[in-house]
Amino acid sequence: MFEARLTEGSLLKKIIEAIKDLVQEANVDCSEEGLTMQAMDASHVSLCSLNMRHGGFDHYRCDRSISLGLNLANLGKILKCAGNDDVVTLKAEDEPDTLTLMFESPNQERISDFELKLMDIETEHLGIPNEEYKCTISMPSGEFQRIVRDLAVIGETCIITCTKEGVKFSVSGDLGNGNVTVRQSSAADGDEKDQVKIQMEEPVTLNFALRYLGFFTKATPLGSTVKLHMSPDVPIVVEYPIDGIGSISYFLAPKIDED
Amino acid sequence: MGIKGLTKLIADEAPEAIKEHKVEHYNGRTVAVDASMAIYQFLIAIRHGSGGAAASQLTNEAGEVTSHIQGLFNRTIRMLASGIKPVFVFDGKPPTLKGGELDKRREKREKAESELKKAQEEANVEEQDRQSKRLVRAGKKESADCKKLLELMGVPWLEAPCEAEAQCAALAKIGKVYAVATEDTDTLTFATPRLLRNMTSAGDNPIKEIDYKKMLEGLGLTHAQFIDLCILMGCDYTSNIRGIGPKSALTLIKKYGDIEHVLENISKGKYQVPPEWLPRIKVRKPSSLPPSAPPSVSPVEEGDKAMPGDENACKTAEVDSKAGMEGEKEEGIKAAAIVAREVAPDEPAKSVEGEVMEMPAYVMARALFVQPEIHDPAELNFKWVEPNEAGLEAFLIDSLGFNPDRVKSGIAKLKASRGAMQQKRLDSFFKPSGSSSTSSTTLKRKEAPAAAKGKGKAKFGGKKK
Repeated sequence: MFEARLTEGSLLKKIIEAIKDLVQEANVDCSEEGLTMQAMDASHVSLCSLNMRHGGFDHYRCDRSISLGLNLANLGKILKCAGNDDVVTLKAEDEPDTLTLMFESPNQERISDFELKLMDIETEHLGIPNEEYKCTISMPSGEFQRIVRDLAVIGETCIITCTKEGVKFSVSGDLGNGNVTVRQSSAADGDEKDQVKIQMEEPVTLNFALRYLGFFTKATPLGSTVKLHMSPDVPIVVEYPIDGIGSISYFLAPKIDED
Repeated sequence: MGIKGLTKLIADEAPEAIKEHKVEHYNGRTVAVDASMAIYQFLIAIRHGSGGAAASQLTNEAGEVTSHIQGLFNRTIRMLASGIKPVFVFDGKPPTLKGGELDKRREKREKAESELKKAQEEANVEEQDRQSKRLVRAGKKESADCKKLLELMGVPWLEAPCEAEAQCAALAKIGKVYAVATEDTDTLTFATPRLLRNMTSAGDNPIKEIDYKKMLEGLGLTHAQFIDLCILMGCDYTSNIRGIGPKSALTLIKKYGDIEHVLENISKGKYQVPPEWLPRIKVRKPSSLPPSAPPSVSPVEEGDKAMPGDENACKTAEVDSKAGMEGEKEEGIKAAAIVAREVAPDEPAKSVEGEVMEMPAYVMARALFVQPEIHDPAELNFKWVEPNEAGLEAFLIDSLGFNPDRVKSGIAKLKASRGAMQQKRLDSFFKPSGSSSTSSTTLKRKEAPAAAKGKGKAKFGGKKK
């Protein structure tokens, strides 16, 4: 028996919105610790990893570890039926064929339940080493979204350069080129959420496809901050912490000059 | 072409070996493309004319066929744009044993030619269409055109010493390429780890990947048994036993292990074993045999020496009915020699003075599959270079009369696909740690009866093998 209840049901909506354009089908693994999901896009260029701790739910019970094969677009359709302030409860049997979703309106006047058919999905699991990154940039998620959106108009590939002074996002395309530099905020600048912080051991410069960064920024509504982790010649990690429950992290392989 | 009925047999007996992927799935992978097969496909598929008139191949002003060029140009760009790095492998000389198969094809051509004439007289468009497709041949000129085009596009190619499939398989086996793209199923008989179908075909059909290892597991065979199965089912190198189809071939191989034992056990009345499958005694001039060395040690030399001065002997000996087959067999022995020692238990019979046991045709076919003539794959290296823009324009627009706009947009795509940088795959950084569907629950669900699956998992578009 698996049961998980989220008072803030809209959170689930946002999470699915943040994943479904990148990954169409995924296995969500439920265990005592919570929910995890790891899935790659069709080109195996990027990976999305979701982690929701059991403590973050209002009620969580998982007697036996199960894996739910979900079509995320279809799950999104069902979640559209939930009101934004509904309480959402997920339920599944020990050997499930379906996932039950129950939506309760805050005043308990409306209760609806839906069943989503599960699928057998065979996916490759990648072992991601727990490594220290040379650069970690923490910045407002809205700012990152805007940079990615702006640069994507000009070109396909974005060069991200991280130095002590700041982070530079550069792009060049047929119509011209552009750079956006974000500087480290001085400690005095107002709200911590709006600050740009850079922790750096050595400068890093890497190239990434803006198309994928654009997919990642679908997670912007999940939190006010985004963290970028980079080391030379390895995939970037774009991490969106989700307040009180966990995080969603995206990995993107760099573009590398081979000649 | 290929092994008769193998695709269906795999789909029936080892469905887990076949997977469908989008083209993007192969982003960043190097793929060996069986060029001769691709050219043939283009020649068949890329035609113009519809409605009342019979479709014909694309030609330029001078009337030269250009379908293959058009196809190769567009498909290669499509592959490159999806991040796939293709290497084209061309056929070299046909293997000697294929003589029979080639003869058959020639006969078919001649028949098609006369049928086409008939259809033209009768103005039967449909029939004209069908017969003219049968007449399509990927010849030397077409290959040369394509090689030139690839060169200009900056895409590597090589010519196999013999069969392209064998060379492709060898490249894939040592990991020089990730997979082999061809429609020809005998590529699997050469133990290609991954075979991709539909790579060069038109449209957005998903690519079918056949996993060799999973296929063997599903069929329950070893590699040697699989080769025997393919020979029984009917390959390009030899005829097969009439009355044995894919299913019964699999049953027989599973029951008896190899062709030798199958032949011992099947009823000779029911099945007609082709005469060339039976071991034959052949009389040779004793002088052509080195008296001291046992023939089994150096069958190669023996064959060579026998050839020139041996015509009389050939005529007087038990001879195959078909002219030319004799010589081919001789050469085939070379290839067969290596495996012959293991597979032919009656080998010692060879050393009888003046008599030579001729290898049954299936043993030679087997040898061609086990020890094909190939370039050492480890020594081959491929480079994708900048396309030669001026050269492409001169070749395609000026000499072949292609539409300049299309050629230019093609070249632009070609350049864009090369870009300055190569998008890496994530799995080149993180190693797979197993698949997530191996959890006990999913396995249970997989084993669940099909009926339950049907009712349980269809509606939300989640059909998945």
